[in-house]
Amino acid sequence: MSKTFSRTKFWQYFIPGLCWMIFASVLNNAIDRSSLVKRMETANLDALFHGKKLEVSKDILVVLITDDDYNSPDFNGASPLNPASLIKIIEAILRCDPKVLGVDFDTSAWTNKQIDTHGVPIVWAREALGEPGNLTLGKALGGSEDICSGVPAYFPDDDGFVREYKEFIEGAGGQYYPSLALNLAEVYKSPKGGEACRHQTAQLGKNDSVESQLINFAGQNYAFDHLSSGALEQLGNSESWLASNPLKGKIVLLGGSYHSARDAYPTPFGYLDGVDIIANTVQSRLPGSELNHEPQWLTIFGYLEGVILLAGLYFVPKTWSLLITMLTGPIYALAINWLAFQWAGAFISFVPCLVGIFVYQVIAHAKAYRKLLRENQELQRQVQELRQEASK
Amino acid sequence: MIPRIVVICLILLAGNVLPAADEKADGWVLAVHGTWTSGAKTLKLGDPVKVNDKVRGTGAPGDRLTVTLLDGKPHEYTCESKPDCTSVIEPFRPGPDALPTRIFQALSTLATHREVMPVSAISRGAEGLRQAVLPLDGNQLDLSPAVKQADPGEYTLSLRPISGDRTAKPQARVRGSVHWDPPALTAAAVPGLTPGLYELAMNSTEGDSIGSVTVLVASPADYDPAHQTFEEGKQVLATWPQGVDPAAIEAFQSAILFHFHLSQTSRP
Repeated sequence: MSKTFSRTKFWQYFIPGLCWMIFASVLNNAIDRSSLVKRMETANLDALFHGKKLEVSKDILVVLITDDDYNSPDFNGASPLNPASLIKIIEAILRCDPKVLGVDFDTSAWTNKQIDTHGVPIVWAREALGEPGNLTLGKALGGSEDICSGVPAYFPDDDGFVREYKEFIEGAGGQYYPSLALNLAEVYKSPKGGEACRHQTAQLGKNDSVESQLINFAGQNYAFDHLSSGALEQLGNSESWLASNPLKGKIVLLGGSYHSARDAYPTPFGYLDGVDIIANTVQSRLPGSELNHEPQWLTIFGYLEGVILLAGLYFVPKTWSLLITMLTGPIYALAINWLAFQWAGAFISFVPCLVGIFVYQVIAHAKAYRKLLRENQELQRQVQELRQEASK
Repeated sequence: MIPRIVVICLILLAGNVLPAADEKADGWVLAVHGTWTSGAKTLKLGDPVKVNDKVRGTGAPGDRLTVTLLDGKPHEYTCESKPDCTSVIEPFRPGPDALPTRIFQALSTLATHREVMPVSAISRGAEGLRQAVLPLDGNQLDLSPAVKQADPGEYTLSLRPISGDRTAKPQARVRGSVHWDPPALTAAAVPGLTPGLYELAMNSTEGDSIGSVTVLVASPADYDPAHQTFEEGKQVLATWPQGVDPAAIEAFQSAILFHFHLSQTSRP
């Protein structure tokens, strides 16, 4: 017998395996924004959202103008909403002493700018006008310049679902506009209050970003407390209401859920009103609620555990290693994916790493099989020769 | 004498076993018809309530308690079909699911087809107008009371007279245009328009319909009484229950305009 079957040396096994892992990860990064990878990623993300534990936000409350409010004599079913009636609601909210108020209504045509803010900072929504890359900003509060405002703009995924937002939106002439969610979170978090408001700028700060970031959806609209504007006005100045009002010290968002507003968009939790999407976005920016896409520490951990798994599989009998990779690999990847999301607020896919190991295992097994076949053929040929010699 | 350590342990145990009193309210009383109590307390406007609280009315006819919960919706409690007139404030949000349920939900989201979400392709114009009294000053017709929703821009108008008399000779439509940009620009130029009852139709310059609706065009002298009559008539709608077909409401409002118009034209 000229050749014998022998076990591959560790480094001969390990280095090609490592190369396959790196190749799969590099390939994944290269096609990261392709619709195929994006779809798999969003399906994974949506599943993780649906597995989230329902926690009601302690920081945000949403005041809605409902269909009943819209059709009440205050608004008379007319759009744009009557500014005087809206100001009445804003003042009713401000009397409840929230930490900051976000107004998600178009106030560009307002002429009456006299609002008694009671010292509460207000962040006004400001519409982004024009085409992407050439956006300009609409007016807020009738064109007032000395106000805090933000753009409530979102960029839906290929499937039309809203999952991402941007801290700053790039506009025409190299200008960057802060988002409504960014300013609400900044004003709420900062001890400086309204002074922490970010304004339109030509120069972004070191920590500012124009990249899309994931919204950490807290759940269906149950995740936020809601009150209707009609109820708020009705409760008015009642002492027991003011003593126990749930708006005090919170971020209060005022928006519309009435049908004619046409302000509802598809999200992983079905259609959500625009104001609820903003609430989810603001929540994503508060400490403890962030969702980090592929944080560095977790990426390093992912590669490390891949390397350990690859090395460990060397010491497992070959018969079992492929089966272990096939069966436990996906479960392991999903488990780590789940744990990272639920407990560390991190979204990362370990699939490329494990796919690399799996492909390598398959190739290694195929090579070993071919080698065995060749040896078997060689053995049979030699047996045949021996038989022929014996028969002579 | 009980050793101090036992007392401390009992206090700690009680702290763990007894649920901490959660002072956070889940809703507030919006309206009270009759007398309603929660425990020993008589409820009044603005009083906080909590989920699972028992509220009790006296059982008098028409007793009703309206509460707003933190789902943003009003919840009404009556004595109907309740012998002791007691209701429980029902939970308005689902409780947190257990871990296995959440894992199952996540996996089933991956495994199932995503539900198709409907998109409403209805034109905004379908509900852009409403019945109203419109003031006419010369040939300037203020459209703001009638336009519910329209983007700023150029629009054409058509006003078809509604005489109320089938034997009368039909009058020709009156046409006009408006550069709509509320609240500054809301008046349309409509040459040849006279006071009366009309069917107003409004279209964008691209031909998209904003809608058509009955309006009463009033001279400056008649505008205030006409507007007042219309608003008084609409107050009746406030007593109608919620969920009435919008078509019935529109018909009622058109009838108010029609009635006022008839009373004006039949005046000697």
